[in-house]
Amino acid sequence: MAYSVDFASNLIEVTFPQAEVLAQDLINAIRDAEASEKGILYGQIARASGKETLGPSVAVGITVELLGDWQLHFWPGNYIAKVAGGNLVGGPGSDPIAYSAGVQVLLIQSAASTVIATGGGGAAGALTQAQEDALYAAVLEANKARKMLTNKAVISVDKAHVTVYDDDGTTVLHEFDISADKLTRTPA
Amino acid sequence: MSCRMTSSGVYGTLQSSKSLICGSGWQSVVRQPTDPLFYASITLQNVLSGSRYWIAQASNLSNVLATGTAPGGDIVIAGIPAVANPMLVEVRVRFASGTTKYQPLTTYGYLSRSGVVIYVAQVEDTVAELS
Repeated sequence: MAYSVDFASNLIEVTFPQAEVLAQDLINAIRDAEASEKGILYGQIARASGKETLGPSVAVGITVELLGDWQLHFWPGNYIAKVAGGNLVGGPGSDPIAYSAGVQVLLIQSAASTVIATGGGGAAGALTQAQEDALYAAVLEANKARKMLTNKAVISVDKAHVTVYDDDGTTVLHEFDISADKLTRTPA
Repeated sequence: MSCRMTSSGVYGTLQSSKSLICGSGWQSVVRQPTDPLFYASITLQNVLSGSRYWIAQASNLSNVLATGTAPGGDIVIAGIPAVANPMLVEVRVRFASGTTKYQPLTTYGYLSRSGVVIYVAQVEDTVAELS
């Protein structure tokens, strides 16, 4: 996990190619940054709560609250980012995610999140890993469906192909072949 | 020519103004607002070894008075310039480099001529883990 803390801009930069942020990793990195030689010159970045034991291998989920104007900022690009493993709250106007061109952020939050210790020592948020994966896949599919319905599409000069472009208008998302009678399209 | 520094009354106590007598004339030396009123020591007690500390004037955080890494136990920082009497100081103590991380601590104390003693009660961070 790679984070770069920009104290001047109050941004926690998620560096390329990381597209998923776990609350535990985030608070670990924040505490390291706060205690650094540069970080101590600035106020506290975040508060964290949770992990109180509820029973064997079960604990309250983590909540990371970004203080003041601090926000999480993903590297710009055309992808879907994910924040999981706990709640991320706070930031200016209660918006913990800073705008990044082309990035859609899936913020998985819960009012009753729990941490379940697994055999591998991993931790999960309100959802199991399988549920999170399924949700993530569903979001990807929904996002692609939106693009297919609304994005720029270009018919070739010979009217034999249709090309649908991604949100940036230049990346090819999908291509279709058009039948000779112009009534059917099939994925190329 | 011999010179003699004099101070008297309230001005002498506050060190706001001093007069320099040089031969037959007087030369007035006025204390600037940024000049220290006095120098005193700040003692931080019970600081975990390896903690990073930072001390500044609370009303002007750009006036950093001391910073460093704690050797453990008590830290006595002498010769801290005070521009107010008493002067409220902000103390930050952070420690995240060991196997156990601690919550960032911010506390305050009034620095007077006799100094200030600040007890640092660092609280273990039960959420953050070793990176």
